[in-house]
Amino acid sequence: MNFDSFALIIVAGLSVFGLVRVLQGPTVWDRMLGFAIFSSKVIVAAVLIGMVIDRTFMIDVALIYGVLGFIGTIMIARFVERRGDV
Amino acid sequence: MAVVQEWVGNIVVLIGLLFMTLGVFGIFRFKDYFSRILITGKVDTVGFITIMIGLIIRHGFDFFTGKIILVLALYIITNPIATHAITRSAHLSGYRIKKER
Amino acid sequence: MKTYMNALWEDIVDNKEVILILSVVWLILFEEFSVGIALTGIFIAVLVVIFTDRFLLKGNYEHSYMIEIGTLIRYGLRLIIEIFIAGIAVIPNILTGKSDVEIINCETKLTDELLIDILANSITLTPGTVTVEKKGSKLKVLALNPPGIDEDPRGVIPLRLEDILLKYENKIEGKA
Repeated sequence: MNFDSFALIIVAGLSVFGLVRVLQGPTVWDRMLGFAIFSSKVIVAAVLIGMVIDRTFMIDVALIYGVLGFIGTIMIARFVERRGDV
Repeated sequence: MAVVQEWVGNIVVLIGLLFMTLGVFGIFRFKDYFSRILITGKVDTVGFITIMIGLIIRHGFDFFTGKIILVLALYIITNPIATHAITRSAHLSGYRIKKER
Repeated sequence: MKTYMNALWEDIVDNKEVILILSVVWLILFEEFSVGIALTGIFIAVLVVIFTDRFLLKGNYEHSYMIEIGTLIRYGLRLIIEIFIAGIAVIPNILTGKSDVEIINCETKLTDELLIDILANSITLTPGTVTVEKKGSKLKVLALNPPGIDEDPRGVIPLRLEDILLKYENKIEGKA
């Protein structure tokens, strides 16, 4: 149990709270905010896993997840803004 | 020297985790959506940047560090666009606050 | 044919900083340094820039994306410092749970489109302020702890960042 595993456990716990906001948020924008926070937590977790197992390919996973989360947030925001017409 | 570097890096990562915890605490603290996105989403970003700087300090200069800098640059470029898209969507869809000037 | 090659060479010289940045990204993604990989990276960077310039953009590449490495590094460091200052200033609001949110109309002195976009993104990135709308050089900023009614509404813009961009805009004024 070194420092990286400790940090990884804390980040994983925080991501669960982000998902709680997605489930219970009163408006749709609250849900989007929760999703954005969750995706940033996933990027940090991927980099930390790369540090723990000492491989560099996990950073590529973080990069790809960053791009996918960005596109997802933008498209959902556009969908809501135009009321169903992308 | 290596021990000092590791300790400094660990302390910076701890500060970043503190910022992130404050951000996640904030989304259950406020009642209003605009307050949430103003404070919470952004404090979360501060935590992200701090953690990445801590990992860079601890790992030293390497290709691994270059990749972390790449992730950091991508996040710094894309995150404000996502936040702006969400807030603009809320503003245009008629979620109003009382005061405007 | 000769004039075409000359135009090509001028494009490469004008965009040398973008080409350098793209080549460094290529080297980082490969995680090893050798002459062959570096040459391939430079070739592909030149190809990308020229293709975008000729076929994808309406205007000129070097007029749309003017990047100078010195200004970029100075701006990045100042941006990180500003983010930390604003992040620490916002913590008492989280702990007490009070929030006073208001939309403020303000105007920047910048005129170049790309620089206004960069400034608006920096405003969004600092905790406590989010840009909602941009029209020309007029910005609508959603601010926490806004300046009072009799104060200057430009207090929500990080003025030091604007200064760096203004200096850069004066420098490129003749070319753009």
